[in-house]
Amino acid sequence: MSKRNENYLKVILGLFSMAFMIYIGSTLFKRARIDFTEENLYTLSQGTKSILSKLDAPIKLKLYYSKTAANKGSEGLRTFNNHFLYVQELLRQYVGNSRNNLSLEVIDPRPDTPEEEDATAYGLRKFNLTETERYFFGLVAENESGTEKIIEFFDPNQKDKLEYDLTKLIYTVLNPQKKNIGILSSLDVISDEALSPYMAQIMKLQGRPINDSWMITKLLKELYNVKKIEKETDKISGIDALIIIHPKDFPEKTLFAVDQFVMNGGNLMVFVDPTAVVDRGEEGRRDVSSSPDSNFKKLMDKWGIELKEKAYAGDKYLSGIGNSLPNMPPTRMLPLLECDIRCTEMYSDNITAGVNKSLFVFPGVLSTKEVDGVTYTPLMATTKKGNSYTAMPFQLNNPQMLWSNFNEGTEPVVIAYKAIGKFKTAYPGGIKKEKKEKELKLIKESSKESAVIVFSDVDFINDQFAFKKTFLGQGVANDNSSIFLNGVEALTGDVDLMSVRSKGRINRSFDVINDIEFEAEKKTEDKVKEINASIKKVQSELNQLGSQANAGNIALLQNEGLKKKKELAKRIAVLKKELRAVKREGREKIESIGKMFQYINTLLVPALVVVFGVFYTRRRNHLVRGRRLKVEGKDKKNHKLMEVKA
Amino acid sequence: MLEVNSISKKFDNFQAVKNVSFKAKQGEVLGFLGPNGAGKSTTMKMITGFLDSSGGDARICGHSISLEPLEAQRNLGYVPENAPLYEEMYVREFLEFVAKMREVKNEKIEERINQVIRMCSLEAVEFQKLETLSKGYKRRVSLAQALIHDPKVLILDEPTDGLDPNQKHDVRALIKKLARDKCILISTHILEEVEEVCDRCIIIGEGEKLFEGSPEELKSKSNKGRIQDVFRAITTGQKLQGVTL
Amino acid sequence: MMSKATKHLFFKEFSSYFKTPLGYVFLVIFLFGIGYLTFEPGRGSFFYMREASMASFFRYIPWMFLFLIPAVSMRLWSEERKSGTIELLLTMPVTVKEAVIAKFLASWAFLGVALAGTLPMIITVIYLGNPDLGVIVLGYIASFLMAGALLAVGGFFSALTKNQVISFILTVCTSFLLIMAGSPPILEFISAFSPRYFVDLFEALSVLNHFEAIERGVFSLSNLWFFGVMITCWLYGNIILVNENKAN
Repeated sequence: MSKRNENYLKVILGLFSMAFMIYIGSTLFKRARIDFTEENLYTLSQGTKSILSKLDAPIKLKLYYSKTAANKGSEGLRTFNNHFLYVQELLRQYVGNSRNNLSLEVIDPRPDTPEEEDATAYGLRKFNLTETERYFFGLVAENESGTEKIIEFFDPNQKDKLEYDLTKLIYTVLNPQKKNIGILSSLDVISDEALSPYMAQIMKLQGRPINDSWMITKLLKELYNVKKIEKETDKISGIDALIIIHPKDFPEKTLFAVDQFVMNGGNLMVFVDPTAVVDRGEEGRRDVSSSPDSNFKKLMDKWGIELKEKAYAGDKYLSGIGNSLPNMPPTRMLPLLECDIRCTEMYSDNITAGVNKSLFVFPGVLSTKEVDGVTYTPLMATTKKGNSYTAMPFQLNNPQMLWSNFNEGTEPVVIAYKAIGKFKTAYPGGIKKEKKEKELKLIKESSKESAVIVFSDVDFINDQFAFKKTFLGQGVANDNSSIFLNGVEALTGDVDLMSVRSKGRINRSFDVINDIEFEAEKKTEDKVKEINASIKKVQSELNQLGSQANAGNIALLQNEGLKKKKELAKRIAVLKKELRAVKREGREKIESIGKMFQYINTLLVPALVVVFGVFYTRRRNHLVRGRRLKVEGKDKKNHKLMEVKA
Repeated sequence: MLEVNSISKKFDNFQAVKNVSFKAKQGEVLGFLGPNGAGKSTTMKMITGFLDSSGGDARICGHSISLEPLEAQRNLGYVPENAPLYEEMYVREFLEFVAKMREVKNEKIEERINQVIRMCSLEAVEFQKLETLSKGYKRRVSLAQALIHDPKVLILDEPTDGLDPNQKHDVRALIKKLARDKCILISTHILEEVEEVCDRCIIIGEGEKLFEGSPEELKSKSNKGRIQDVFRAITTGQKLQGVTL
Repeated sequence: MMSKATKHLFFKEFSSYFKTPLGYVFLVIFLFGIGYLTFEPGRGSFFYMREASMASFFRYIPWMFLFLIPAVSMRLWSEERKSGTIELLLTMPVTVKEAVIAKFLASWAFLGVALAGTLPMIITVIYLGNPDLGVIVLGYIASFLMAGALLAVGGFFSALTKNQVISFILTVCTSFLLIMAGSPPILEFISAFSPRYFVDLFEALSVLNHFEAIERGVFSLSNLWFFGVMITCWLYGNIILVNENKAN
């Protein structure tokens, strides 16, 4: 063989061995990796690892993803493709941490195959892309005894909750039975007997008062066994989690039962409220319904969470628009707190993760008094510019007055807390026993960890603020109900499951631009207000004129009225022009920032490169010329020396 | 100093150089003659280590070019055919680069550059870009880069090709000057040059060594003293009038 | 570590990018192009997305590289061979291996400079929002590694032919194939007539997959291995080709 051929053979062999080495390496080194993301997107949390370590029997994971179909599909499916890669990557981490108890199979169900039939049979969500192509993106977890649980569809918008969902799936495969929930409330959140919708309709038509459950409890019943806890209870047991709504006027023994429930390691979610708007009581009652009362407060003290009295959490930047009274024009209202991602992203907890839109009404202000051995996590809060404000009962209906009580703050005000740890009883001496009652065993300090979640608003889970009527019946209005359900779900799981933190979604929006937009929006609003006010003023003047009218001055007045109207039209035209200017100003400011950065990034650096090039070339010439002069000088000297010698 | 032992080169189906051997001492200028395509350049490229030989070896100052190429190359200066240069560089810049590559000590670089510039009479162009230079100057810069590290052995591949008579004269003068303490191998097909500068000459044709001896010897083979006739007779194998091989 | 000759050759090669207009033309086209692509077109545009991340920037990097890297690499060896300076270079006390590595590193460093020129983009996202700097740094590392791999490919083809245009075209084609190797149309095409493991192998060769894997924020040994092996093997081929072709 000639040397030339030998060399070409070497090159070809080299390229082949490259392909081979890369292939080996890609399978071999997959697990050696470092997660650089701020959210630790690709790293499992301690809670997940701890649940995985409890696995002692194999669980099969089948990830259904219609890869081929997706690739034929539209550009929009690209986000799903990225999400699939993420899901797959995370599942690989699960398998890697499961001591070989988990196995992962990725299935691409093609149309008219057994795989597709399976996917449909498991109940995964199916999307028809074309007549033949169907799209699946779900997960099935199966254990040896045949228990199977599914995630019917992976929503890319729920990316930050993915680890929690996966861990929960594995947890439910391990513990498949339905959980029991107890509800204790001073309000009628749960009716004694379930009314059929038909009966309810009839009662409504007959004008009889219906004592119907809140929507939220109906939703809860679909997922759990819900048990009503009576206001007078000796002992709370047999439930996996307790929900207390608007705690006030409970007898001492009930409170003691709640206390002991927690001492036994029970998990608890409490909704308190400085002003429960939904608790109207009898018609015409003017006082404010607030909780907790002083008795329940004692319990909360032991849990280390406190509600500030007569104080409310407000935030200019989250305030909602609404009418305070039926006849008033809508304005920005401080009591309406419209929480978006800014309220939850810092805390990245599964209960509130992904909450984009939730509405609170007169939420209270929570603070902690740290108890040893308990960890406190805020779940939701206002933005940094939020603050607490106080209001007398008579001020509550006057938005203007509330605004005057409010100052922008510097620290977020927390409206929901989670406490996990071992608590102490509020009744170290027990309670006085009534006669003939059995001796109640007193537990002074809990031996197991339990979790207590406190929200400072009751209204937000009421039908009025969490649901809306649609033509299909009641529909969810916002994320309020998911916060509630997430909370219950977290409580009924393992403490490990609860400690699986949401990956969080750090706010990556353009803060600078948002600020400008908000400013512009506010200015626009002020202008609109000004316009409305002047219209109103002129209108009332016209009315006044009208009322003064009589036969003698009617012509004059009409003239006057016309003049006023003309003036108003002019004035409105001017104001509208200003309004447009304000709107344009905001838009232009943003556009100009955009343009500025575009110019910097497309033109500035290339221009700098050119300048550097010119400068460098000149300098090079210059240097060379400089040296030439130096050398020439030397040469002359040499010549002179030579001449001298000669 | 320079020792070539039956070096040969085979390209795919073509034997370019066949077992060529010769030696050259210090202070000797060895002319390397032959028609175009005879294998002169190939032989030189093998001696400089640019090409691997298919057989045989060359030793420069005792270092084998195939076994210890770097050591051999350190003692070698080479002016390739047509004097290729990095055209975007300035003369001084280029010499500085070569000096560094040739491992001239940092503190001596300036001095060496000035020396070779004087030696090769480059003073007039030392601050110009290489691409702006005339052919003659380029040739001299190429010579300068070969001399920058003061090598013991110089290999010049047609250093006077394409120069005008004055330039040729200058280059030859320079070679003579250098010859005192160096061993120079110079390839050419200009026969007067051989007479003028070479102590000894070798003629090769079709890859084989056909003659080795002094220019005088070569000349004496023709009764008219015409070296061209001898060259033609040797390289073509024809019998020419008045030439006795 | 690096021999002195390698170092000097590296500096000479590196500075030569700034001594010819070519280097500046490259920098201007690259910087303007990537800036334009990041900001301008439609719905994927940086300013439209309003997200303080450099995703829309890194998305175009492979495609900018696809055409610009062959332009840098095409002259690495073709020019030396065409002008004959390769004779000068390889008769200096430097081995072919050292020369190949030095030239490769110099062009890589030049691309590093080009990437560094996009620094205002980082400042932009930091000014506008709260970006994940770890991910941005990884994005740059991924871009730099990819540049290295494509340069190694380009160097290889530059040593294959004296003609810069042919070298450019071959490099673009091979780079395109390597970038797209993991893409569905190509995989589907291959799976039509070859076994499963061959498809897997092809997918593992995809530059884009490995680039995106790092750019997403996880630095895996397998990605590093991929780029390391890529660079090493193409450079090895480069060395052999230079040895083979230097005389023609």
